[in-house]
Amino acid sequence: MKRLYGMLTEKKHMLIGAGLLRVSFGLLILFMYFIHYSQRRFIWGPNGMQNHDHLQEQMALTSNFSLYQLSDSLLYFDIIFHLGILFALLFTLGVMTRFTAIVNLLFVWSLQHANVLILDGGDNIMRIILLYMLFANTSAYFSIDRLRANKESNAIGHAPVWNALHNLAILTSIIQLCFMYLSSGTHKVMGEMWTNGTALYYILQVGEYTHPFFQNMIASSEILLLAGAYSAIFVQLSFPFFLLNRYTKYFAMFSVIGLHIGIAIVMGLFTFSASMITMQFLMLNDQEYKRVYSWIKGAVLRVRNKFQGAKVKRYETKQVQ
Amino acid sequence: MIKKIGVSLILCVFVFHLVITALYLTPFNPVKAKYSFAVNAYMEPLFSQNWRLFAPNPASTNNQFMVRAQFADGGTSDWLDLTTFMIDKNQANRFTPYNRLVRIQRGAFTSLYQTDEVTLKISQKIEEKNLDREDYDHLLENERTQKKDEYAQEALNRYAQSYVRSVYPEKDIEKTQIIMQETKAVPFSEKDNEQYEREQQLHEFKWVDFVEVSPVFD
Repeated sequence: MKRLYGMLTEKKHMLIGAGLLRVSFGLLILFMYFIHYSQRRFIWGPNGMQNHDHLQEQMALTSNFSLYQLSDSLLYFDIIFHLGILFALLFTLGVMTRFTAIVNLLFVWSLQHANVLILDGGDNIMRIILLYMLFANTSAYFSIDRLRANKESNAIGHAPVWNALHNLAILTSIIQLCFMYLSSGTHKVMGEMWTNGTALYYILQVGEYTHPFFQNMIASSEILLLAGAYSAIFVQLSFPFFLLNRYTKYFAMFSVIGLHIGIAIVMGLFTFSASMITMQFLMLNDQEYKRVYSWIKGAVLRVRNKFQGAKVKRYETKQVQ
Repeated sequence: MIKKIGVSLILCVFVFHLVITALYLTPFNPVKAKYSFAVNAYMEPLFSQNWRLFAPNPASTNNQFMVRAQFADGGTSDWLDLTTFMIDKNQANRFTPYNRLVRIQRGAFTSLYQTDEVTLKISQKIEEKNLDREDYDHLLENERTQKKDEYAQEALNRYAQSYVRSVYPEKDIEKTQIIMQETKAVPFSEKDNEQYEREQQLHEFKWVDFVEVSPVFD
């Protein structure tokens, strides 16, 4: 009990993962803004896919709020949209992160609810995790805040309540992810097409979720169909349990990343997969990241040494000539 | 001491939130039937989430949307295909705006027929017991689902109208109409039967007045 309390309050864990999560979610948000930049008025605008009055009505009906509902002027829309880009950028870079994280979430939330028809599960998990992460410190690594703090002073807060809040925000995010896979896996087990192994055969006939090349390849093989459906169920249901052990954790990460790469390539749902894979940044702790970092550094050094060695040798042969 | 109380409070919120989230995400069950109102009130809209992702029954039909326009001079256009070119463009390159735009039509159409779990259960019971649907209309239809249908249809029409405008930039358009051809998947048992004819169904939507919408394709 005392040890648990200590773990919770003595220091902030998972700071590197939280930083990586912030940067990659920020980049995904920026991608969303920029890839649809020229269709922005149609997708989210006051006279786009949705009539502005109806957006207001819809928000009132679901006790929801979006910044885009406040005015039907096109100028207002463009201002909000560009402010959204600005705050997504500041969030990605980690400038005044505590503040920009809140504002960025407000803008992302507003954008998502201004048009729900083009969203996917990746947007959904991102929205929820961005909310939990308001309570975590995501700027201890890879941020402008960090650079500035190093210059001024190196004071790191040791307040137990703040540490607990940070650690529980991270833990909530991880458990939320586990719930997601459990829920998704359970609903698959409930579906006949999933348990009889024909689900992929059917999904791959749907134009939006398929590619002729993979459809021909996978649908023509009963073994691939079965392996695909069953491994999806198994990977999702087992994810939370494999996380509990230090070594099986890597297997859990490896298998969900594999699942999502498959979904990205075969079904083309790459923004969905990118969000889900990004979530895996939370699975490694700071020690593990440091070990990975020093391994990479070592590898780079070895390669460089080899390269430089080769240069020297060539130099020597020149001398002989 | 105060710090310990603070930490304990945070812990309570943490546990409470996770318990409710877990309940919110379970498949339909007695506890949920009883408390779903309270659970939903806590979870939505802030934490609303849905992870059924292609389950229990994945999408398997192809919906092809087509639109035609009526012009002020009395003429009517041919049917314009709204779906095929989007799918082709998305398959040719996943890193384009079409990767999301392609979802508009299916998203709107599913939203037309989508409903919450309790309503779905009632609807299934009516089917099972062969009851008269009209007697239960008050249970099946509520303001929220009705409005949702309206918005989804509007989105479909506006998408179609934006497209029609890009095809006929100069014409004076009065009305448009959408139809959707739903093509069922080839059942697994007929996989190798090349003569198999896929089941098709036509959904006809109403003519609607043309609205000048922000262009989707510049």
